[in-house]
Formats: sequence, structure tokens, C-alpha cells
Amino acid sequence: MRPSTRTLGQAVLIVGVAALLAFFFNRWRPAPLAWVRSEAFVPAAMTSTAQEKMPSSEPEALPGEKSAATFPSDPTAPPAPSDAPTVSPAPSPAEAPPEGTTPAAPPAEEIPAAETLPPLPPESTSSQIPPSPGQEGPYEDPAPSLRLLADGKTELPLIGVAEALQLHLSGNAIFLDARDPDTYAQGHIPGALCVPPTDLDRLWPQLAPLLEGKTIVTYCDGEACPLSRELAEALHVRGLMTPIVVFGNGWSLWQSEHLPVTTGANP
Amino acid sequence: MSAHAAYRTLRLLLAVVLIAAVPHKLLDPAGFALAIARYDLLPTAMVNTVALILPWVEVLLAALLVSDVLMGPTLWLTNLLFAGFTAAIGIAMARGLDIDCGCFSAGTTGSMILALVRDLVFLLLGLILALLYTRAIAPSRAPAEVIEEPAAWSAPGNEPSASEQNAS
Repeated sequence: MRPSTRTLGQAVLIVGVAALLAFFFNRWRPAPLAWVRSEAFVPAAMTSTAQEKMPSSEPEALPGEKSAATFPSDPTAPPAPSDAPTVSPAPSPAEAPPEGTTPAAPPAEEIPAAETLPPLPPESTSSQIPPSPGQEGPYEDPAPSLRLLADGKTELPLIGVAEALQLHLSGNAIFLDARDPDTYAQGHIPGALCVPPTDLDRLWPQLAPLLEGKTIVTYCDGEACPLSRELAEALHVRGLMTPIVVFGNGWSLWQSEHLPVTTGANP
Repeated sequence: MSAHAAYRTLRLLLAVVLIAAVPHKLLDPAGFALAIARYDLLPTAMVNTVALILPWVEVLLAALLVSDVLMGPTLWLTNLLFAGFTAAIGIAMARGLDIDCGCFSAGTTGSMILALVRDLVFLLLGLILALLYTRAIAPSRAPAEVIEEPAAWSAPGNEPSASEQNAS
């Protein structure tokens, strides 16, 4: 029952046709799936239960420690060591999930942030402390690195799907969908509001009270999608004191982790 | 049941099985990719590719099974597919994983043992079909298509007479 070369060739042909069909079908889909996945999956247990085991400070702690390590010999940089203790000193890399949902971007982006760190006045850290006196659950202070946002020139932090999920579960974050309303209506992260950057001025009066005291998470779709960053920066220049983070490639990642989604227009 | 009738029944049955497994994979490739990833068998980079191509392979195989063309490669691929599924579930079970098998509709959290037995049955049916094809059907077809296979068992011409007997 060995297959002849002809049979093998025909089998390869069938698979090839299937690949071709898959290619065109995937291109035709409104939200194509990336052919090669670079980011590991969140394990099954994490998407369904036991999110509390996720180290919340993991994505921030790494850049934080890195920035402290970048300037070990700089005597004019006392804020960096003073910042380090607040970065939940637990050895988070050890307990981090092996998949490492931390996007590759943050360390590179936090380097310029670290340069602005030394002149950062201490009052900016104190101004960030109030928001979470009585928080419940496993959720900790969203992100020590976020306090850099009080400074005008820092990059807005990128977060991965694991942290986005935790922020979502904490109930202490508000998700803003930067895509257009039609796309939003077809599906979005539950509780997210549709705020395209171009509509921010129009929506601002209704939006502003909702953002009070919450971590703002902006997202759009696609690795290179600029909308979420534009929205985050537009919010940032309004002088919000709440942390703003960008959930890079958010919609795709959220979907690929099979997390809940809802449909419908803006509430 | 004559060999031809059994052959046709099994062809259609397996085609239905293959088609039934397709819709959720096509409509939710990300979910299917996640289901594959949970088996922890493939390298991460390959998971999405497999998740995208596999449903179309199943569609093509089902179409070929129904239309009864290119049966040699079709049966090889079908059995390879079922063997792969069975092996994947078996390995996952051996590792103590209890995951959604991703076989049919997403979210059906049947037990792994059920999925394993089901796939074993499909594999068995596929093997029977392949056996029927090589020993009874192919020899009765145009000899140009299958030159090397009929020699294995019996002289061509047995089967048509057998089926005629049954039919009469």
C-alpha cells in the first residue's frame, strides 16, 4: 500500500490548492489572521480562570529595572533608585509565564523614558499615588512606569494582551476603541467605547467624566495601526492625570486569545 | 452490501464528517489556532499556518470524496489527517492535558477520551474505505490510473461479477 510518486504528487497538489484557497480566503476576511505567529499564546488556564496568578507588574518591572541598570554609574540620577522600590520588587521574571506576553516593544521604548527620568520632580510621583487607595482584588497599582506620563515628553507605554486582560478584569480601566464606528459595531472588547481620534473633540464632553480615575487603554487593529497611539496622544495632551496605555495590535490579539467580544454601536 | 455500495456509503459518510468539522474553523481561524496551540505540539510559528490551511484541506478532501475523483491521494490524505488528529489527541491525553479538542464546533468540551474514540472510528472507516478502494474499486476502473495496485490481491474482474451476483 505504498503510495506511488504519482499519488504523492497529487496529494501535494491537493494540499497546495488548499493553501491557495486558504490564502485568498484569509485575505478576503475583514480581519485576516497573521500567517506566522510570533507571539506565544496565553495558556488556557489564564484566559478562562486564575488570572490573579498573572504578575501584574511584570511588563513594567522589566523596563523599570532596565532603566535603573542603564544608569548605574550616574550620580545625578537619584530618582531612578527611588523609583525602583515602588516597582514591586518581587522577582517577577521568575514567576512570569514562560510565554512572556510582554511585547517586544516596551524595553526599547522605555529607554528614552529613562533618560527623562532623572530630572523628573518628586511631586509627579506623589500626584500619581492617590488613585488606588481602596482597590479590591489582586489588581495592584496599574503600572509604576505610567507615572512617567505626567511628564510631557515620555512615550506612552505599550501593553500586551495579558496585561490588557488584567486591566479589563480589574474594572479599573476604560477601553477606548480607536477604530471607525462601523468596525467597532462589528465587534469590540466588551465595555470599550468607540472613540476614533478624529471624533475625540466631539465626544470629549461625554467622555471626560467617564475617564475619571481610570486607566485608559486605547487599541485598534493591526501591528502598524496608528489610531490607538494617536488617540492616546490626543488624550495625553489634554492633560489627563490618569494613566494612558496603548494596547498594541489590540483587537487582533484580543480575538486570537479567544477573549469575549461584543457587537453593536456606541452606548 | 456489495463492495460498491459500501464504498459509496463510506465515501459520503467521511465527506460529511470532514465537512461538519469545517465551518467553525473557517469562521473563527483565531479560535482554531488557539485550539491547536493548546495541544502544544507544533512550533508557535506554524500554528496559524496550519489553522488556516487545514480547513481547506478538509473541504477539498470532502469534495473529492463526494465526487469520487483522485481517490488514491484523497484517501491517503484523509487517513493521514485522521491519524494525525488521533495521535494529537492521544499525545495530549498522555500528557494529562484536558483541552477542547477543536474537532467540531468550538467550545464543545466533550471529554478527551470521547474525541479519541471518535477519531479512531473515523480512522478505521477511512482505512476500510482505502482497502475497499485498492482491492475492489480501483481494479474495476480504468487500468491506466492504477497500474501498480491491483496486482496485490486478486485478478481484475472478480469484483464486477461479485457485485452482479449481489445485485441480482
